[in-house]
Amino acid sequence: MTRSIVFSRDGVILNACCLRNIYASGCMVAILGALPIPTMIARIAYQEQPLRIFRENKEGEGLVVEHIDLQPALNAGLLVVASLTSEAEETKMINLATVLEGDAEATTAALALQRRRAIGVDGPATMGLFRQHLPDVQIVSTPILVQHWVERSRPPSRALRAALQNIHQGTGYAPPVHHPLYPWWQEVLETTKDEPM
Amino acid sequence: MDQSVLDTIDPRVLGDDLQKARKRRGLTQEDAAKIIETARTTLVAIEKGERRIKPGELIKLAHAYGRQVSDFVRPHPVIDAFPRPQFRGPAAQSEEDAEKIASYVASVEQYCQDYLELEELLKTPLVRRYPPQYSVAGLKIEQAAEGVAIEERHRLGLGDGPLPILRDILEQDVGLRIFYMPLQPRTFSEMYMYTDQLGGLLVVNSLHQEGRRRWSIAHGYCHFLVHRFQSDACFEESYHRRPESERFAEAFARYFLMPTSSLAKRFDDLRRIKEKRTLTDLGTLAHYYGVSMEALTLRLEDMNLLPTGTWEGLEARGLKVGELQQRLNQGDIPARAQPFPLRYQYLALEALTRGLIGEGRFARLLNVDRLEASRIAQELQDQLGDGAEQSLNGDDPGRAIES
Repeated sequence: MTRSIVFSRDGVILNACCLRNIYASGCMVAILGALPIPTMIARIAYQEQPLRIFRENKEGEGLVVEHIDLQPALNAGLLVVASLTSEAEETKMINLATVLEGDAEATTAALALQRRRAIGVDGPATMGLFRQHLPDVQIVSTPILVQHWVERSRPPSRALRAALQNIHQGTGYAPPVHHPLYPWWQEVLETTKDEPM
Repeated sequence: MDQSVLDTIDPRVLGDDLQKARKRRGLTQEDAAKIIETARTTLVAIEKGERRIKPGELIKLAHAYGRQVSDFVRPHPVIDAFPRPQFRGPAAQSEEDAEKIASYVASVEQYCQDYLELEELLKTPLVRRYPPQYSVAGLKIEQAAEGVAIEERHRLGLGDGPLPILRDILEQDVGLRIFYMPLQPRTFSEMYMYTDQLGGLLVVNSLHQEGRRRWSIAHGYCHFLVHRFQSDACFEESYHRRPESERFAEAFARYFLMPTSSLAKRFDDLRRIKEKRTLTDLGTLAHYYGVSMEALTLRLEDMNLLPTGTWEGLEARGLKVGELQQRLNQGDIPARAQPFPLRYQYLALEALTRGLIGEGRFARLLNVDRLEASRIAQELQDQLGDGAEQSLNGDDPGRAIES
């Protein structure tokens, strides 16, 4: 049994970990396209260091490293790259940098606060820091965004399973057992296991 | 608008940090002033703490200096200035080499600041098990070096056998901070420094083979034991005449890595089995002690177990050590060649799993991207084993550090 997320903000800004996971799914355009609100990333989260994932090579015999490519999502207008544009945003970012300890995270948080965005984050430690220091900001995660896509778009079950497997293969991510959607995630993987690809 | 932390932070401390970061990046005040589109005099005033920096200016400067804004605004330990390492080796270093060394020192300063910050965050100061400095004045080099090597092995409970991973012994049992970095030129083998705040620290050239790196570690350790407060940057060739402290450190490395009693016994065992020693024997012994063939052969020559000039002869006959090692199929000398001390990595992992730092900072602390950081975290957890993993990850072993 699952229930849809209600987005209480004007959009969602993805932290680097969530961005990598959504990209790794291989269904980034579809997942972002299903969201009822716009998606954003902080320029610094994308440019500060190369964001990479593992992807099965074309022959299906082993993994290769792939740099994430946002161009399809950008071209489709499903993703906006944002920077700090006012002194108020810069001040907020610097204040948050004292506790979040990373420019990418602090910028993401500042933009979320100033522009009323939810934050997409998957790293348990980073999620904890966001929750602690941004108690009023809605926090979402990859399982929530994927589940929203499933409810809106009803992708074939094998495509969904492949997306979840791609995420795990690409970044090592699977929701922690205390994540509300952990049972759902596991169920998808289990129940579609024997379906022909 | 919120009050800015920049209004409460001590502008002199911030200015000083900015100045250090600018210099480490090799930028002039003029360059930095251009980055924030201001006059040089304004930049000077900012660095002196006479003019408060604006948020946008700090963000631009931090990025231009290759640093995080948080490096300047979060509370962090202040690192005492490192003593300038004294060059050992070539009579004169080029200006280019000196610049490279300065940049290596700057990197190590940054790593040490991170190291101290982790220790403070986790309230886990480094335990130092330092012996008093050995006094060897007036003693003959060889005898004194062997004496110190034997005493240190005894103090550390190492017996006289081969040392397993020397780096781990000195990091964990002595409390040195040992970093592996790719140092250029390749003849640059090791750098030793000491400050009261950090204790002894070694930087070893990661471009070298493990046998050579172990030698460099032993060499640097000798500086710590005997000339503790003198920083030292060691190059391996071009000596006009090796200074006494260097000859002492080389002798110490020989005795520490290949103790006379143990090596003589092993060699004698070989002699009993075979009439003539072969290259295979030398290769096997070198691997056993974790040293190079050259170091082993010269040591046996010193002990009069091989004729003087054996190594020279082998070299003249075109001995290819790499090929020999491949033929012997011995595998690599056991090593831990990661850039950072194991303890540093564990502290970073603990800070992450306790939620004190985020995944991004964990990756930056290890100087890798998130993909590699995730792999390292998993590897460290595997090393810690199931029990530790449980306590590190709460209810979700193996998952907490992902992504």
